Amino acid sequence: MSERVQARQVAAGWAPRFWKRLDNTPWLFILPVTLYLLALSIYPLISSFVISLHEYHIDSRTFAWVGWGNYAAIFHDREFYTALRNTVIFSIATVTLELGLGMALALFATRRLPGRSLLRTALIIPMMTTPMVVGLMWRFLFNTDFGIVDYLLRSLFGLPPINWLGSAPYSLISLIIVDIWQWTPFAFLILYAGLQTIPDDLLEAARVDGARGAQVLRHVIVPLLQPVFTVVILFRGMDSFRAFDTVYTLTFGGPGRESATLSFIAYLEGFAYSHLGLASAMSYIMVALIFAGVTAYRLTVMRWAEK
Amino acid sequence: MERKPIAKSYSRRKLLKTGAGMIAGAAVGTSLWRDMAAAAGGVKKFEGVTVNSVFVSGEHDDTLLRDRIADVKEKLGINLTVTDLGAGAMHDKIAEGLRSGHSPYDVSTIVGFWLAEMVGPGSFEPLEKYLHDPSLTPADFDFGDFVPKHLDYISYWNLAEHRNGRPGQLFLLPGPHSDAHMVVYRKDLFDKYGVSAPPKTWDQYVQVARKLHHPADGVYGTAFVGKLDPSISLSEWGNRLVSVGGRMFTGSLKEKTVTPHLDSPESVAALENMVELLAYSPPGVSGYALTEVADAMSAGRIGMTLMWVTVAGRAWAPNLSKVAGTVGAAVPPGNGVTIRGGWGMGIPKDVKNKEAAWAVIRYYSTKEADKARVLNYGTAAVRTSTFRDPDVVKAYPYYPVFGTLLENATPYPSLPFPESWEMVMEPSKFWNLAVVKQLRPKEACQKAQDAVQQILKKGGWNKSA
Repeated sequence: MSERVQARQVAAGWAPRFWKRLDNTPWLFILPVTLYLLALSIYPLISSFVISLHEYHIDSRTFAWVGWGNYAAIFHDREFYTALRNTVIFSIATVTLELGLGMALALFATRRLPGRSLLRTALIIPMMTTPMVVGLMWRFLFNTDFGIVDYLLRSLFGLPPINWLGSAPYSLISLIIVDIWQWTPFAFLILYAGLQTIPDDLLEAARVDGARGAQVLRHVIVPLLQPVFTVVILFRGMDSFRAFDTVYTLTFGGPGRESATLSFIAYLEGFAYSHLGLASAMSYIMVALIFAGVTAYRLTVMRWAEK
Repeated sequence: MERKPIAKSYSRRKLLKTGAGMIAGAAVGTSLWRDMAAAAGGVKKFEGVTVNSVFVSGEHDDTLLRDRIADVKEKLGINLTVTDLGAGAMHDKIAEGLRSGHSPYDVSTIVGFWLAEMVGPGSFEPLEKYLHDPSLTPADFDFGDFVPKHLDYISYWNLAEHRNGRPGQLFLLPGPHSDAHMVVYRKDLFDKYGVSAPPKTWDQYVQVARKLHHPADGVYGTAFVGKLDPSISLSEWGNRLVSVGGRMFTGSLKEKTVTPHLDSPESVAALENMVELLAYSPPGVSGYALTEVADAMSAGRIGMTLMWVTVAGRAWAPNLSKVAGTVGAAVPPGNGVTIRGGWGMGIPKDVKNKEAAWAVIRYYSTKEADKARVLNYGTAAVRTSTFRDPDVVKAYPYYPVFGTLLENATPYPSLPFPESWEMVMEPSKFWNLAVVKQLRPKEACQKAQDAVQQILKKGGWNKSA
């Protein structure tokens, strides 16, 4: 750009007008959150992707370029598929049961029963407990030799001792039970809040038209709660897919890798074995799987619900 | 005598200069005086400095220091924090800190099979300069009193030759405990069921466990680490292997010709022995880690077990054990060689307050601290004087046996490799699968062999693989 053109633009007041226009826009308001996202989300995302294309050398503390090698190694590893299977089973089982139980509890809590506010408070306690404490507590409860779970099963039903945390498939079942215990209250709270938003007129109109309890539930309550179901399914689904802490404290993925989840395997590779590239690649695969799952849900279930 | 006239007035600049000089002088003087005073008493103080320390949980390494936080503050001026973590979590946290250059703990405790990974790359502060500085280490510290074999095992690392031991640099002070393995047994049950002597072979070990096994009376023959846990490799499989002369590796690291032998007959026999013991163990033994085994012994629920000395010691401690008066110790079956263990305390290079961290390490490494740890919690001593102490031998009669075991113990074979932790953990999952009977011992050994082969190949330790 020649000096003459620049001088003409300045003379015409182009530059000040640009800044003036910028001042009037919300850019400045967006700036902090943009910087926050860049620093804490975008940069780590890009950085971890770059790491996923490298191999870390533990002895020299250096990185070497391996391209897609880490991704190829993961897809050739049998343990990855075991962990993927466990993660999918865990996610589907926990989300389905938490949704069902949460709905039942929410419907129960809407009835005018004595002590329902106490019930509501008691129900959210598991959700507020730290995962490590949950893990340690359930380790005692599931203990084969002196745990209450096995004791009750033995004394009430005469069942033989079950090695809950140390044998397959019980180790994965134990993890599912603990997750349901801890997170059903989340589903309950959201669904209970959703139930409060349904106008009484609609329910009464349905009853006047002759609908019974189950019919009101199926044809009025469930359709009206669709957006709430979506929130519970998406939040709990993504959370379950990343399950780590209870696996770490309760079974350590054992026996063998029979109860390992993808997050647990990624943790082991990254933090215990210093295979940082491999762990990053595994995390990216998890992101892709979650993205695919959410998209599939939106395209199928939500579209069906809209119809 | 002619008197010099006193200046009647100061200029502002002169006043400021004089004031600043006086303040600086006072500061330097105070610091010098404090250092000199400290040197005279052998202790330099670090008023208000915070030192974070970490120890493995479940082994009473942290307990005494935690009890003495106020004493540390009084004697050293340091605000001390003491954290205890499970071995796995502790490894991961320290390793992550060293990789990122932001170590969370000024005093980091390291076990032998982490040396190559953590100390090997030169991430820890050499300690000689602190040890030989009289303002930081009093003359009566007596470095020569540390058990020489434990010093070679944990404290010295040769950066050039990638190995532990002397000649090498001092990176860690021994402690809070050394370790080896011994058999702990109930003398009263031996008498009751006619067992005349502790087992000398692993077959005899099974036979003795069978004799002691009386679940109806609430006593199982034995217990062992059956859980997916590092100790299933270190304590169970590892001891059974080395005690019959089995080897995990042959070849040379230097020439990169290392070959694993996890599928050897000795390895398979070691695992078979563990599986055989399931019949005489509590039903939930495949979920037992070290703590559960030690608790079962102290609670009087098992007749005999093989255990790290530092964990076993609590069976003799009257405040921690129901069977304190009836337990005995013996050399494990085989040739008397067991897996060596124990920890060392060091200072990551990236932490700020290195001198203060040293002060804490030195404080916790004195003869008095070592003896107090052993007497109160039955841990494994790191100082020769503790082994000879009459109070210790009286309270823990196994100490002479332990002394012999410590002399003959051998490090876990993966120690020289930076991938050592992975070499401990990966086979563990196959030993665990054998214990829960999802794999036969031979299959488990073959899979463990393949896994370690893969690790060696990836690390470049076997050029021909």
